[in-house]
Amino acid sequence: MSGVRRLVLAVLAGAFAALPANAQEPVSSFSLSAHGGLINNPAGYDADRAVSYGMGVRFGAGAALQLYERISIRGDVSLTSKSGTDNTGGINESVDLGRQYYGGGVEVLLMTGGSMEPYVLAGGGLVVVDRQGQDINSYAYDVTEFTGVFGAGIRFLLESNAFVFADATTWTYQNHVLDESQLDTSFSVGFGYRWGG
Amino acid sequence: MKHSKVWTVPIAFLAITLLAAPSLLRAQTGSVTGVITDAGTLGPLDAVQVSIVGQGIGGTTNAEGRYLIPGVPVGEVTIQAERLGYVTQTAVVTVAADAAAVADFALDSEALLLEEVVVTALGITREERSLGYSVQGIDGDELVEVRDNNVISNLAGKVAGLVVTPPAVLGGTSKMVLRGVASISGNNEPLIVVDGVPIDNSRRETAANGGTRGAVVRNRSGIDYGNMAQDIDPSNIESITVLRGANAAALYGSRASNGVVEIVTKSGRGALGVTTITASSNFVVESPLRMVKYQNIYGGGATDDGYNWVDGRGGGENDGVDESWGPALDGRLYPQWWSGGVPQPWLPSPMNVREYFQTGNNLTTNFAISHATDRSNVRFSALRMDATGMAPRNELERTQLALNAGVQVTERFDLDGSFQYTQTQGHNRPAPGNGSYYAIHIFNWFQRQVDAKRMERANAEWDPNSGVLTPNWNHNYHDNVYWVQHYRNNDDRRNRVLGQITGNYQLAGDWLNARVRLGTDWFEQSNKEVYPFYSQDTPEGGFVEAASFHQETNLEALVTANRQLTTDFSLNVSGGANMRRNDFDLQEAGSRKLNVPDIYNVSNSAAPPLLNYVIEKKHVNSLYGLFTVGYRDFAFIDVTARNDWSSTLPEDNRSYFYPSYSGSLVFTDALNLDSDFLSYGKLRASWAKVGNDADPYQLTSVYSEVDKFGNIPGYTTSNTIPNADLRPEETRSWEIGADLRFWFDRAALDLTYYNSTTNDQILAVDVSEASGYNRQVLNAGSVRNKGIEALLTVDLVNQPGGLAWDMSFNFGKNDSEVLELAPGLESIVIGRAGGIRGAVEARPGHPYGVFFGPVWRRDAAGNIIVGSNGLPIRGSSEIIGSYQPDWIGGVRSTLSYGSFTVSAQVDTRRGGQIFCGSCRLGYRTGVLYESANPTPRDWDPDRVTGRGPVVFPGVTENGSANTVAVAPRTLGTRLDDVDTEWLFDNNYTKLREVAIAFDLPPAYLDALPVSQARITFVGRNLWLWTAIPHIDPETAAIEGSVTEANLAGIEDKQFPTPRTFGINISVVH
Repeated sequence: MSGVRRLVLAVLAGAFAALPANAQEPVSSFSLSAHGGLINNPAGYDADRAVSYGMGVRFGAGAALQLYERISIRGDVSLTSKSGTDNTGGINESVDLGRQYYGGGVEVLLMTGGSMEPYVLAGGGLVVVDRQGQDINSYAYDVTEFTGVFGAGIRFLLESNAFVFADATTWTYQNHVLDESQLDTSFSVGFGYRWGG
Repeated sequence: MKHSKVWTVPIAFLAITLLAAPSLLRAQTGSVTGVITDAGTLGPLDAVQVSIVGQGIGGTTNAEGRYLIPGVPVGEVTIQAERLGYVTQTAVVTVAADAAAVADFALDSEALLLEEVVVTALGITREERSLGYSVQGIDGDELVEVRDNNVISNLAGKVAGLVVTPPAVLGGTSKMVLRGVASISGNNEPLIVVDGVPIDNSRRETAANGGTRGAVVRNRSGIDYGNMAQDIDPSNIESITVLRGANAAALYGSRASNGVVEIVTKSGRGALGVTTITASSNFVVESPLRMVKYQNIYGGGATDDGYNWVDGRGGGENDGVDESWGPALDGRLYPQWWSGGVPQPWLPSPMNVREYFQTGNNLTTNFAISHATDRSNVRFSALRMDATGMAPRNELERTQLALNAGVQVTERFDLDGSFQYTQTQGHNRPAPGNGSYYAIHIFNWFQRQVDAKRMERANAEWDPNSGVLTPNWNHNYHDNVYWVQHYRNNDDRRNRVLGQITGNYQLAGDWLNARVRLGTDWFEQSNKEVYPFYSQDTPEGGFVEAASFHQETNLEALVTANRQLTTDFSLNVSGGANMRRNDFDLQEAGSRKLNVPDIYNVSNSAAPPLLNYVIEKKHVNSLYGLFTVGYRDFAFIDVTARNDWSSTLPEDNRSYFYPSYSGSLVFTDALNLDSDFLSYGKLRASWAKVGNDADPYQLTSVYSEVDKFGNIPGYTTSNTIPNADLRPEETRSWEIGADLRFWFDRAALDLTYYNSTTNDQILAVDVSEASGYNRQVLNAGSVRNKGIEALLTVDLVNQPGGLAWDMSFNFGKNDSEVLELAPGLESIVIGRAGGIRGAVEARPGHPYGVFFGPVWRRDAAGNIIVGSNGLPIRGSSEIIGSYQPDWIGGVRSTLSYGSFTVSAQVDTRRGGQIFCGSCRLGYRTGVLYESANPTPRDWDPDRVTGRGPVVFPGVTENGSANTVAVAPRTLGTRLDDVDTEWLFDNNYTKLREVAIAFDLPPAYLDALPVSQARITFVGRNLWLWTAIPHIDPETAAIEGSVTEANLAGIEDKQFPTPRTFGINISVVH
């Protein structure tokens, strides 16, 4: 288990352990959000090929249903795009790598009552990894894997039920080329609106 | 009507249903509601049955302890609340018209064990404390939370000592063995009984090399059509009781030696007067858990001199070779299979095999409606499953209708029955194992420069009428993998009816009861496999079409007397009889050569058509009895006896007697122990003799068809000498055990030690071919299994309305030993596959299932001796391992907090070995990661490999260190010769199940017509921990071979195990 995952799991465990009794008090709110940010290089999937990518971008949207004061369930969709150059054997070919994350999970608020809401989240979903070359005969693949999702962020509540947030998210899924886990990490910011609560 | 017997059950069943139907038509006048709590913890109690005494109506509490009984007559009524483990309470309330009266209860717990009953052999329910043998119960809810479409796979890790081998392919066979393999060449799977009726759980598959299919595609693996128990829908199961050994199953006589899995389906009994509607939908997606790790440094070819694809048959340079020992994938320019002679960069395709597997999915929807009164109960359910596998175009569909009903016809006579119709259809089931037709086999040769996307596109653009081969990277040995899955089709369909009707009559008071049960398991199955033109295996086409019919009917009568003789002694005597009829017939037709493509009919056969017709019939009549004496409800002695008369045994040996004896002592009651630590203690012991039946056609020679000579039909006798004095296999077994409960039943430990020996094995042993035969059937040989089983359940935390946490641990250890074989016989080959040079064998003095194969020659110091050519020298064959595990175990944990429930199951297997066929072949073909990377092999860090010359670490005959370097391809071929190179310790641990459930709070349900709703996120086969490279050792089974049903421990180009993840939504009205 990597250090990142250990840390995330420890934070989640601590968050659940610290849940006070009123975490069970039903509260109902619904929110929609949009986000955008940056994502790391997917080195593992192109193992054995000499590919260099530029910085990837991520954007997407999410919805959350608050069930209790500190507990919400949420679903998120993120699309990422990354362009690069495959120079395996000196071919110097342009490639595009798309990663689409579809998932959901549980979000736990670490602090409530103020205008600032730090949170952690854990869940799972699917990731579609889609590589395309510059022409039809280029090396390409399109695979779907299960992914675990872990993250942490902070939300700033505005006067009008709107909010802005910043978060870090990690997806972990199987890389069958290397027979090991793949880690994708993204930092993003976003905004949203909450009804009820 | 030939198979008209099958309709007798549903017709009679319909009559019961009509009798029970009025229970759905009651009027409503008022209601009673309330909340029921635990008097000790003050927490709400769910599943409490609340009824209006004398009115035949009632309800059940939900997760919040709340109940509602509508339709209660106006006036004063008595409300009764009862739940297993609690003292029943009553209260009197006055009900007004169109108003709700309130009656709350706080129930006191009582010693649960006094009330616990379990289903035992023949469906007889008994108090658990009276049993002198080991049983384990599984609640049906455990099977639906993280459901598997095969109920046998669902049992993996849940039952102490049960070894389950789940399938990797959609709808494939899930195998199970309890307490080790007892029969050397016979059936070793437990008998499955549904609602008292034994059902067929055989594997339906095409034989690899036998029968009609074997004549079409000889030496190719068969297709696995799955085991029959997968027709049982887990969501219809109320409970499963596993009768682990011969002792518990003794009343099943000649079918009891492997234990019994007793399944009771949901009957609609429970909430009186309430119509309950349940709907659930389960959607999961699946992708490979683990795949072989390939090298991506070197491309196709036998040498690294160069590559030039001309025709894929050797017309160019290295283009007829299907190995990957070719030039480095460094971008040099070579003409390739897709480039039309134009040189293109020679580059790796790391994802080429993964790309082939798609994301499978499975949508299962179940609907059930049930109703019960105090005189009747009825439950109807419907299921639809649509699944697509990870192989392209692989699909499985299932539709099921089930009806359970019971009615109290008179005060003394009641009827109940269950009926289930299932239709299963499969399409394009992928086959593992050997054959150029099979993608998994091809991937072991799939050259590393081959891009799967291009293969798929080439197949899509190919014109089937073009008269030319599908474009492919190799035309000497292999077909395009996408062409295989699109054109080499197989389709199958099975219609199955399973049903029983049981009548109970109280002959005298409530102590003398008679039961008559008629049950049947009927199914017909058809399947067709087509082999198009232009394939490597069947260049002139071919097909196999088969239709089979199976029916087992049991008519059983049982009279039971149950009396308290004195204040101290109780007596229970049962006596019964059973008539069993088994019918099976199979008709196959096929061709190994067609006149024109795409017409798969005998009339299109260019060679004599292949025909096969098999009929099997078997009758078994039985008498049996059970005698139980109890003393003060803490000491019990059981004696059972059964005599079977079987038509498949010779007349003189037809009658067989199977006795068993057992006793139990609840010593905490006997000694009046009143301890806070040990709240319950029971010791038990038993001895039993049971059997394992003989199959038909083993007594006399029969003729079988062979190819016609012109118009003259041909028949031949069997190559096996029959045995006119055959006897059934006999198992003698004893066991002792203890059931202990601690800290007011917060922890429970069940321990069992067993020892069983199976003698008179029915063996087909090799004989001198000078006799005119090559095998002979005889009774000989003996296998002993002994071991321990343990089950520990702990209620760790139980806070009222707060945290609840319970765990269970199970453990099973079995030591197997082949005591003897036939006189003069040194070993029996159980089977071989995966390219193993030796075999899996039964050898006296060793566990059943040892690997007997070649090893390296070594000097006295243990160094491998290397020849003057630099290659290690193959030595003689010896025992190099066993597939039997040292032990298996599982841990299950459920954590609840408020509306959330999280459950997880981890199970493990330790010990024994597994032969990795993919490792062996992948190394030889040069596709395996270790065959190209200059790093130590994962499984042997002393041996460095790569593509440069290798100096094998050994010594020469004169003792000096080897200095002669050899080419890796040459070494790979030599490593292929020695089985120890590919044998690994079979240790693994699996995160089997995870379920995160959320019960919608009542506040969310007020506006909905549902009383309970649950959303569950589920995962199955989520993680695998093992040091074995490349494969999932659990699903590494030989699929597709009926002739080697007991073969295990060999991975032979397995299909990847699916890892599934999804969601369940269930609502109750």
